[in-house]
Amino acid sequence: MANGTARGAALELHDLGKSYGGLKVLEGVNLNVVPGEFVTFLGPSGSGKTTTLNLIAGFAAPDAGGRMQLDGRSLAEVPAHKRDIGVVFQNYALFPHMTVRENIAFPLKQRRPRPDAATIARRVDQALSLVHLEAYGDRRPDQLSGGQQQRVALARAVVFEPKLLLLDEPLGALDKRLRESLQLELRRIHRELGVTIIFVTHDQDEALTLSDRIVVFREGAVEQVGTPAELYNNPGSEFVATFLGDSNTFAGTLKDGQFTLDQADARFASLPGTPDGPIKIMVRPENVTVCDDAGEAANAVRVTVDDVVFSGATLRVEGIDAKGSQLIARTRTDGPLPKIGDAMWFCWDASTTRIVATGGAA
Amino acid sequence: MSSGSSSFIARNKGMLMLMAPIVAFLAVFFAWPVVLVLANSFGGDGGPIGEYVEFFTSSTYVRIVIRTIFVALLVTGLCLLIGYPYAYLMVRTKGWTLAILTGVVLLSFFTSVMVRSFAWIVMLQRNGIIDNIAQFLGFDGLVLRGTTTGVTIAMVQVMLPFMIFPLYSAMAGIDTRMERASVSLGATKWTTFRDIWFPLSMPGVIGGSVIVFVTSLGFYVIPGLVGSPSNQLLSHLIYSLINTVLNIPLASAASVVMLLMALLVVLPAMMRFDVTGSSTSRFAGDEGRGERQSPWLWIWAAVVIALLLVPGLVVIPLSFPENRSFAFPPEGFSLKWYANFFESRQWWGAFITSLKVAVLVTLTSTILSVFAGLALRRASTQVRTVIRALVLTPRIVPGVIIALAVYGLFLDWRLNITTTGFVIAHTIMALPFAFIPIAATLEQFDTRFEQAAASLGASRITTFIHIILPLISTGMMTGALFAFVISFDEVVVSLFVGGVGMRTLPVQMFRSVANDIDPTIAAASTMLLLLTALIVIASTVLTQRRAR
Repeated sequence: MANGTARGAALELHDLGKSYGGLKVLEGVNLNVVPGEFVTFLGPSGSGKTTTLNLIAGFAAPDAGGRMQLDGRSLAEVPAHKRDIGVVFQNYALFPHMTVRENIAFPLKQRRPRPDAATIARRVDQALSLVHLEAYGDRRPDQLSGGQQQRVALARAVVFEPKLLLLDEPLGALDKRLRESLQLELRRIHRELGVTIIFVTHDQDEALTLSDRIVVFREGAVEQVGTPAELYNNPGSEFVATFLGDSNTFAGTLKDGQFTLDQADARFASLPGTPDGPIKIMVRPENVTVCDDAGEAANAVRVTVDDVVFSGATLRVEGIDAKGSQLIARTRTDGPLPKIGDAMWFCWDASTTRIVATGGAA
Repeated sequence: MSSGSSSFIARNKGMLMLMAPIVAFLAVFFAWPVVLVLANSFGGDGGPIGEYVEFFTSSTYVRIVIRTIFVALLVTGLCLLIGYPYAYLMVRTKGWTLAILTGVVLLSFFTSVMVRSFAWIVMLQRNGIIDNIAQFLGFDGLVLRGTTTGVTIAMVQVMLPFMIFPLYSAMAGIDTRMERASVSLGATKWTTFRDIWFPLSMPGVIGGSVIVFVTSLGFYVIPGLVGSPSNQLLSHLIYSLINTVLNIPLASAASVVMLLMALLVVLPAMMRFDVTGSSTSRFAGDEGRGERQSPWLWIWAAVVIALLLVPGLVVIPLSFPENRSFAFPPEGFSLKWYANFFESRQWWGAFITSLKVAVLVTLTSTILSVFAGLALRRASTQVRTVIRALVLTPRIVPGVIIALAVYGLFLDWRLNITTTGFVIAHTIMALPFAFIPIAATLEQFDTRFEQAAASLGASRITTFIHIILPLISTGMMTGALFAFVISFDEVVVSLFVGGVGMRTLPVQMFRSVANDIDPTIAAASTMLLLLTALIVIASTVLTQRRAR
């Protein structure tokens, strides 16, 4: 197990949906996960990410028409306990009446044929050393800290060598420092075991740090799928743009390739090749510079500086434009700092503008 | 419509299968016979409402109804007055003090009703303890046996735990920060109590009062033994209509009248409050616990403790006299009444019957409740309400009515004077008590443990045995203990269902008290008391140890 020979499974989701009573909570989820991939489901609460996870684990049945395949084998008729999918729960769900060892041995005792006692003991030891808890085997869950419980839950979910591991907001209950150290731990275990991982979170930083690919959920449907860089640099919608990182968005109209805003003191570069009509554009704060005058900048918006936050490497400048919307610039800290109340320009290159919505969607 | 209902069945197959045993059991053995009682009441010789006309035109019967309502109201009011300060003190204490205050109520609650009834007879009868004390103080003597006052005192003592537990449970759920908020807003202690505390404790007041009122309405043992024919109550009338006069239609009509009186109180209360005691909400903090309380509260608590415990204690010396007598203080010393208990076929046989029935009832009620509890977890809110109401209904139907109903059904099915009959009848009575703790534990049980077990490869059965059962064991043991005690202690239904050939211990005690002077009952009572005390003390000590 610990030598990395176990391989991950491929997972295919096809047109997956789920309704409770008449209420549709999930619709049209399509996804191909390749073996060994680390995929994050990201979205606000109620967006359908945990529902999808429950469907994959077999805790709920999808609506008719949806299909799930694990390594090419349909999961439709396979009950949860025969799917061989490891799950780490939000609050760990460690069995309180069993010791750490007993918790980890539990899945091994369910295998058929059942491994002999010596094999079980050896594999529990391996799992404990994988999560660095060798000394804690005889404790009960309530004698462990949150981080330790988390590791036990992880050890229990991988000890039977599932090819797919589902993690439902596993770090949600922990403080920031512990989260970061466990994130690194998770990356290490992923590398060592080669298992396919689906990780559910509503924390964008966690998603960006850990994932090979991110699936953004919104209101029961998949909004966008892509690598962290793709989603950050080329968000397909305003929702993705604002959910992943800070952004400045402008809603206006495009006429003959020229973006116009019904607002004074703003200038925008032309957007060739985009059809006319209502449109929304976006620029990331780190691509914005703060200038005394608009000069030659392709894009420039006049703002009144509202707040200046110094944080070492970067300077965060918040400005209010003529319409009263708040804009953010993140710049280097060398040079004179703007002061609150200053009238300045937020400027950026034409290449950093992103169109996040066109036509009716704007 | 039909496709809708069939898909409901398909979607909820597991839930319905788990639900089926308890629903079928209660439908066949509880709901159906109660309906039969209703039918019987309209089936007399004098036409459909002939029995009711006969009942209400008899001034004797009407007076009995009025007396019954009066006594039930009086008992309820007194229990509330006596119990409220005690429950209040309980929520203000913690640790050992709380454990002792709770233990005393538990001890009284678990002490056999027959033991307590016997004790009250000894205290209230001519030349009994109270009579002797009155004479010693120079009065003409005070014989309360046979009077409504005597019946009321004894009933209050027996019902008190039924009032204190719901009161305590409601008060323990009150967020004590509310009081501090009220005082910080300028309210006096009294205003705070009147406008904040008392209204918030209302669910307990109503819940306790409903249970005490309904139980008092249909209480048979105390009125039957402590009261007299000249001031009999409705339950006693129903019993004698069946066993002496053999007038089942009139007995049924009287039962329907009693049932209506109970429903008149229960239904309005149920509309507004959860009187079934199934609410488990609890304020977790313990601010305000352990603070200094008024000495008057402690004095009050001491009186309540004496009231709860003393009647039990007086039976102990009565088990050692030389002669066949209940004189107090007893003369001489002998252990022959203990020997008699173990040697006499009547006493020892009754004890064995009780034990056998109680064990079987414990098994049936626990299993049925676990199934029902598992079903509750999967049911929608509406279905849950229906299930809960159904299982808890026997709790709010006066015992003598259940007795009459079951007796009638068993006549047809030839189940009277059989072990099966006893087990079925006692299970009806025990189910609500077993169901409440078991269902509560199962409802709190986190679904994720089941999901985790499934994701780790455990089948449903493995999950149930290795995960669910161990985690609900405390609630299950509590439910089982209640079921055992209810069955072991049951008198009125057993009086109907049993017979000369087959008696439970409480029935044997009842017959013995009613018919002759036999100190064996004192020996039996002493042993029951010791056993109860051992169990309650052991469980209190264990809980305290665990709390550390």
